[in-house]
Amino acid sequence: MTNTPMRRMPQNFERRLMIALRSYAAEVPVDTDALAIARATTAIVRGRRRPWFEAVARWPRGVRIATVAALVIAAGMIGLLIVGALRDREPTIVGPLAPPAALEGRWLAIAEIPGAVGAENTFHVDFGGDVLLKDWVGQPLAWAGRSVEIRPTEVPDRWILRVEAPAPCGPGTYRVGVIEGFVQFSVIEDSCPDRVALLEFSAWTRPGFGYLVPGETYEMTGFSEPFALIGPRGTIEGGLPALQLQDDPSLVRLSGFPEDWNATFMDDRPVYEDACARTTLLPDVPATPGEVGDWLRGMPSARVAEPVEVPVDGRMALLYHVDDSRCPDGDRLTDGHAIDVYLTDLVYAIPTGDDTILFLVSLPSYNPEEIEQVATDLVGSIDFR
Amino acid sequence: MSGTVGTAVLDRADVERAARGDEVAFARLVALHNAEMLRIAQVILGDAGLAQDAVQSAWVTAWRKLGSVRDPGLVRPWLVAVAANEARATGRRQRRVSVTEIDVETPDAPSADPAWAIPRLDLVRALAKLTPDDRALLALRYVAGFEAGELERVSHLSPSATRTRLSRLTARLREELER
Repeated sequence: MTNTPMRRMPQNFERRLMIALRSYAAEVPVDTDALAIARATTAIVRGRRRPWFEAVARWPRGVRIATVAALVIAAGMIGLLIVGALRDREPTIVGPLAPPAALEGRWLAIAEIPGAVGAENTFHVDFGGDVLLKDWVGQPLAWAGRSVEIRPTEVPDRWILRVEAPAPCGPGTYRVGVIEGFVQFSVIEDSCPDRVALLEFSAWTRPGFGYLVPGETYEMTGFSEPFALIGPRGTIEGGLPALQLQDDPSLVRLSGFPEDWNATFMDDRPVYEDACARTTLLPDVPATPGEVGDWLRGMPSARVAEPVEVPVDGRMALLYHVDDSRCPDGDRLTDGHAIDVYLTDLVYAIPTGDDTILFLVSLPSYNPEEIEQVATDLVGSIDFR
Repeated sequence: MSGTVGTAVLDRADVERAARGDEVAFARLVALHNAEMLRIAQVILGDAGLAQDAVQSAWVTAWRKLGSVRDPGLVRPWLVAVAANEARATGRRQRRVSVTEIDVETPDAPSADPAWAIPRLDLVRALAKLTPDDRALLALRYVAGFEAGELERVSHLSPSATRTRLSRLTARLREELER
């Protein structure tokens, strides 16, 4: 036994607490079917990663066999073409390819790289670029090569993509589809496992959500006065949060990594007069930052500190630190939206021409100062359009 | 608990196989660790159904990230931490719905020495007043038996800050439960 406080023999109360907690913990039923849990788990992950695969698995057996045979023949022919091409020459990188209109521009995805955090997991694909893949700060991943051919198939919005890269990655062939606004890759043939892992890991979408990237501009067009945000350059444990656009464009949620904190931009919607009591709805967020303070101070369960001024694009926003822990039954601010909006630790009231946008930030118990700084930087970066 | 050398060796082999996609090896990991993960989630969430949902989510995370476990022989604290994190996240969402839904009908568990034991109902009430993060800290320390270094990785606090926070927590609970 060492002398560190954590290893000492528990004192009387601690021992009683330990026994009581273990007894309480043991109340949960644990007679679970491990194989069933394992299968459910792998099915969930497969479902998230490869919706095409799951869809194909539901096809009739004959169709599946015919498709597989066609794919094998196609892969063989492509393989022969690639081998033939490689026999004569090293892969040459020629001018950028002009992709079909539906694939033009930059696509973004969040992969999961061991050891990487937050935005470091973000990658970009550009079918017409000098390289196919770039990392989160725009560094080209030259090893993954570039697209050299995008061939339409008989199915609308589906293409065959051929990629060439220097050794050791070499060539690869993928089926590419645009499905409900997302690009999905499905490997036909590729001996470069890192490229396969990156391209197939998740669906690719247009930049605008995903982890914030320092210095990158994000346009918020659904607010009463549209504005742009810039990804803060400050450091933060876990990296910058992910931006999640909702169906309602005047409601934007940021989720911190690892899902321990969140923040919401909110505009033009009814809010409860008292988030704790939730009996009376106000028609809109109070019209000025000062009135937001009056509204918050009018909630008996909330303790509100003196506001802090935050300059925003030539105007002055106010930051209110709120302690709402005395609210015994939740503290929801709004009703009837795709995501819940709550009274939180930090309330930024940002003035627009004739209204106020709220930015509500819930802080985790760790590094709250860092996260407050990032939130303040984000608000300070607002540029009204 | 699976802290023995034999279990660690079993874990190592299963983690390596599961990380390569072996579903049966993954099921063995589930069989070994699911119960402890559930108990941790139960303390954090106070609801068996929510605990089971959180632990299922934890297994999804585990399946996807097993390859990143630095020492496959030490998968147990990693899995417990993943379960605690999922339960904390669930707890925060749930706290927004209601913090008063406590099962007050369940009688106190029998104890060898009722005068010495902390009554279950008092414990549940006291836990309900804590944040999910604080309940996670208590569960990891007193149910999973985590030491300072292991707690540090989960709580994102330094060992000394972890000790301070735990000390304040136990002092607060002592005041609450012994008055």
